[in-house]
Amino acid sequence: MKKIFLVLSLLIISSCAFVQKEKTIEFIKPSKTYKGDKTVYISSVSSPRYLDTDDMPYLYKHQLRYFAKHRFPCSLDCTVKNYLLEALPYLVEKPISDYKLSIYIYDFEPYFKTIHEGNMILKARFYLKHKNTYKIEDFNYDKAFSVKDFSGLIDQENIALQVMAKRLNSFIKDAIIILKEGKSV
Amino acid sequence: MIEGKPKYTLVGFFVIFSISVALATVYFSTSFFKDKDLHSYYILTKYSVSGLSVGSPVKYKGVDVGKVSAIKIAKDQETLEIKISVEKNLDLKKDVIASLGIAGITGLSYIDLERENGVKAYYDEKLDSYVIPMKPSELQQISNYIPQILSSANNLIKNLNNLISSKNTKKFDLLFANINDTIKNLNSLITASKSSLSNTNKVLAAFNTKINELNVKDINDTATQYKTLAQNLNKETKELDTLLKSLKTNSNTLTTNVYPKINKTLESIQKTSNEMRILIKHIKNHPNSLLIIKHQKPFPLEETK
Repeated sequence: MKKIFLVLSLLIISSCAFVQKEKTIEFIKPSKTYKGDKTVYISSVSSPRYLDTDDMPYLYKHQLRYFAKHRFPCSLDCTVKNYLLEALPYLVEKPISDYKLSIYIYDFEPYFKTIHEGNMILKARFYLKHKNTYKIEDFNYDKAFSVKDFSGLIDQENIALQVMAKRLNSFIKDAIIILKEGKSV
Repeated sequence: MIEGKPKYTLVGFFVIFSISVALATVYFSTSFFKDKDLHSYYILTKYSVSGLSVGSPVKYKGVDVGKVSAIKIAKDQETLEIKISVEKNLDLKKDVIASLGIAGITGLSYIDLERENGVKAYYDEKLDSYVIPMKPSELQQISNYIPQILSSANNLIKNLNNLISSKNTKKFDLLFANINDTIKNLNSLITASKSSLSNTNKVLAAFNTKINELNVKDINDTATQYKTLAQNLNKETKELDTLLKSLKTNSNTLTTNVYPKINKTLESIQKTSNEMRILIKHIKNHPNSLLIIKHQKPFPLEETK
């Protein structure tokens, strides 16, 4: 009898689940698209491990933390790649073009100075390769913001990505002209 | 009624006895006198010390050597000032580092002091005491590792899925079919070589006989046999060439497609196993960590509506 009671207790205890509250998914969608003449293969969008997560990071008092109630729809690499595929429709995710684009994001988070104010930071490096030639460019976005609530912050993240998409578009256009001449930069 | 003479000796003895009892009570029930044998140190940390409270034990190499006498939040609102009282004979000014330990599955914490070369306590004039450096507990280190472990596991699953995808399965099938063909070709080549060698032997024997006989007709026959042998050798050379080409194609398939994927998967497995080793070590030392869920503190902006 004792043994049966013990087994039943263990079963009941082990079936207890630790329920954690689901985070709100923040979807970032481009408001503007840019056209291009050449098809470009976007081979990779990568970032350091602490950024490549669906948790949204932020900096506060020199510490990197993640928002407890909000997250990206997928990891940062996946979110940004999807964003760029939509903003720049001439980008393709299959290797059907001689132009190969890689992006490395090494900073993307709000840096709060107070609870409602801070700077939005987005730093990335673009690589465009064509046969044996290539072109590299750094992108730095650091802009002060003041928001009332969390949706205001998401708007700021969207603006940063929109600026990056615009800069990437002109980088690709310039790079294609230079790479055609066979120069590496 | 005549009152008797007071017995002053008895009264004095009673007063002295009462004071002694009061002092003994204070000595045994409080730490007022004991504290004089203790030395105070401070530990400053920005990490959470949940489960730690005033009176929590301080352990040195697992032995109780004192207790937490005060926990305060510093003026910067971030740093925690933990005051500990430890036995006077224990010198903690050099080569000692503090961390937060968790006792059993109760969730109660204690201060764990360990030896670590090169670590030095510094004197803080404001606190008027020595400050022992503190490192994050293994639980805090592990909680930092968990997102990486999950990401590695995810990558590993992706790579494994990629490796066993229908595209690769077809490649593997093709590779095995090629290997089978190659083995078959090699077998037929070996059989052909054997028969050629036996033919060569026969021809040589016949040649020897014919030379001995020096018969022109026989020499002609031998020449014909030599021709046949040369044709056979030519055929075998062609087969050998085909075999070499097939081997080259297979080795190219292995080098360009299969080996890089296997390498990538092995790297992923290695990375994950390293992280798993740290996780297992932690779970072994702190089995209660599986039951404790650390809730993330929301940023105030998230609460704004």
